[in-house]
Amino acid sequence: MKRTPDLRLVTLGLLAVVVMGGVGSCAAESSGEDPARWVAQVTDAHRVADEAIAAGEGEAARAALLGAAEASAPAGVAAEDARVARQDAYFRLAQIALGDDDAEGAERYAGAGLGLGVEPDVFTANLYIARGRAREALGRELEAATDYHEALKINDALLARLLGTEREAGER
Amino acid sequence: MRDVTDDDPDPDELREAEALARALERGVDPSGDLPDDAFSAAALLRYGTVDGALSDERRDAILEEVLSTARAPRVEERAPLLRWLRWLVPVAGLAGAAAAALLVVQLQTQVAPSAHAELPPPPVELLRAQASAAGRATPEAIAELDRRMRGYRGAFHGSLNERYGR
Repeated sequence: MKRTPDLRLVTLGLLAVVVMGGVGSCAAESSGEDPARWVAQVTDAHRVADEAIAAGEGEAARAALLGAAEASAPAGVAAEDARVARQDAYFRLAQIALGDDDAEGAERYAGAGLGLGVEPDVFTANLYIARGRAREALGRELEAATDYHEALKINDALLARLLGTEREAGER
Repeated sequence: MRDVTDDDPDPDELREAEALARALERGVDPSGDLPDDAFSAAALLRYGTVDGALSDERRDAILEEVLSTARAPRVEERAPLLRWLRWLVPVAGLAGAAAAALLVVQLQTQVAPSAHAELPPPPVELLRAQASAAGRATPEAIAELDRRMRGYRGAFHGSLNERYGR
């Protein structure tokens, strides 16, 4: 008995192409870029933002920093480095928004940055300060005070570490 | 016991005779009335034709009758299950391959260098500016923080380049 060409096999083949294409794009998204290229993109974003702010082009600055904030780092970049780079971009976005009297936007950017992780470093402390300023501008003083307090705790720990390091260096 | 000299057939005999006639004619006994031995005899008579072979017409007629009355094979009942199984194996294999590929991608992401770029120690002037902005976010305090962060950011990017740059 003659077998007609099986449309199910054709469908399977198409499904395979779609699935593999999805996997490939996932792979490309997470590991396709060279880490050095990613570093260049991060530094360029801040340079472009600086030039745009100096030229009074807030939108261009925002666009450059948003790209750096939202882009995922390639697989060869340590997660901590990627977090810090993105948080720094979100901090600058929050600062720009506060300068434009966009407190809600500033709170959103700062919140997004803090959502990437909270660590006792300068970048996390900056985000707490930016969110505190935004919440203060929105009339939420208690929440703002909490954020400022968190920033100061980190700042104090960093200062203690720095002074301890300096003390050790002085004793040698 | 019946008298063999009795010429009038009884109902049983009539029934058997009819069955024999049908068997002779059709080669089947659907009624089941024909005793086995008589059916066998009828079959012998039936096929006791020249060379014992069925005529073409007779063969076709019997075949047609058999095919029309034969019970349909159970293929149709099993077909949906078989079809489903035939799909399941390649689809499951494909899904497994995709899952394995995604796992490899995720592992590659996870085995990124655990040691990150060493963050440069923040200068005391930066920490002072930060503390001022956190304590009282005046425009001057914010501007000073921005200025100090520009310098620190440059040092941070430098450490990234040291670690990942070509």
